Amino acid sequence: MNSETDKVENELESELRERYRSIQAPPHLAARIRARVSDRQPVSRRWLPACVALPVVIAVVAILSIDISRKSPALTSPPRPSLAALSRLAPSKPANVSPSLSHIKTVPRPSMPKKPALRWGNNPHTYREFNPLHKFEENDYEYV
Amino acid sequence: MPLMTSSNEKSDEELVRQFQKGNMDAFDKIVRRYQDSIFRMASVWLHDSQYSADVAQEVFLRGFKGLRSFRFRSAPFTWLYRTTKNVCREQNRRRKTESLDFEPIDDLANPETEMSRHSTAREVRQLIAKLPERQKEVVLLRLFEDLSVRDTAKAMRCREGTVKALLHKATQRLKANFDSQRVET
Repeated sequence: MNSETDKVENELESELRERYRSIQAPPHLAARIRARVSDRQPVSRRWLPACVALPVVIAVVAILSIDISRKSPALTSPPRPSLAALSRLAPSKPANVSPSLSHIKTVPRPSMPKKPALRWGNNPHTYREFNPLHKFEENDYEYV
Repeated sequence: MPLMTSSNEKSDEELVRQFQKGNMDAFDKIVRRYQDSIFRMASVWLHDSQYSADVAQEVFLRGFKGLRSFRFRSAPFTWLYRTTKNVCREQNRRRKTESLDFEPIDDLANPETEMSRHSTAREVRQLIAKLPERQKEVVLLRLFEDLSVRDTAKAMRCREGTVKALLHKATQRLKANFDSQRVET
């Protein structure tokens, strides 16, 4: 039963396919397409983007260079402040910053001259002996 | 049907690659290889098959543009099939709004052949007309154009199992339609 159904289906399929396949394109179709296509022969347009981009790039570069040249003097010299603006400015106080230790320099001090060598030496007793004035005054309590 | 590659015949992909390099003969070969298939599909998809030649021409003209940038993500025939479907849809929509841009073909050299061609197309179209859209597609591609299940699935953007199921349902319906048509005649 199943095989019979399959057979019928296959017959139906083949008949339909046959009918469908009997439809053929008119013989002139390919020639017609060829003629239409030759009208539209491909023209390489790969250069087109470059051609469009080039003038744009040139224009942009030119505009930028002009713009920069206009701006450059202003950049080099800052604008002069008006007197009124200057008068409004508060006097800026110098920052009260303590100097770092490295900045403190010790002033070189001249070395003291050597003690002169006395005739009587450093002994006060001998000094008194040589100095009559001193001897006179200090005798009150020293030589009592 | 697609990828007919005998030892001396070039595959679709090869032809498209040659066309992309500027070989016009390759495009001519693609046209000759697929003109019948495209024409047949158009005859069935269109409500009025007298515009099939115009549709086929339009498909190949679009192919002339589109295949230049073809990226081989699918088979070239799949691309042509989808284009055919789209052009047929556009044409049917135009005819509905009665604003025809296409001229009917003026091939009256052999009116009898033309008549028989239209009548056969009409018969087949009537048979599959009652099928839902997806079943119609399966019948066209798998049954009539002999595409493999895999290629049919790719063309329809569905799974292979779906193709098989759709084909089974479509065959059942076709049989019923065929029987009823026979009874009527």
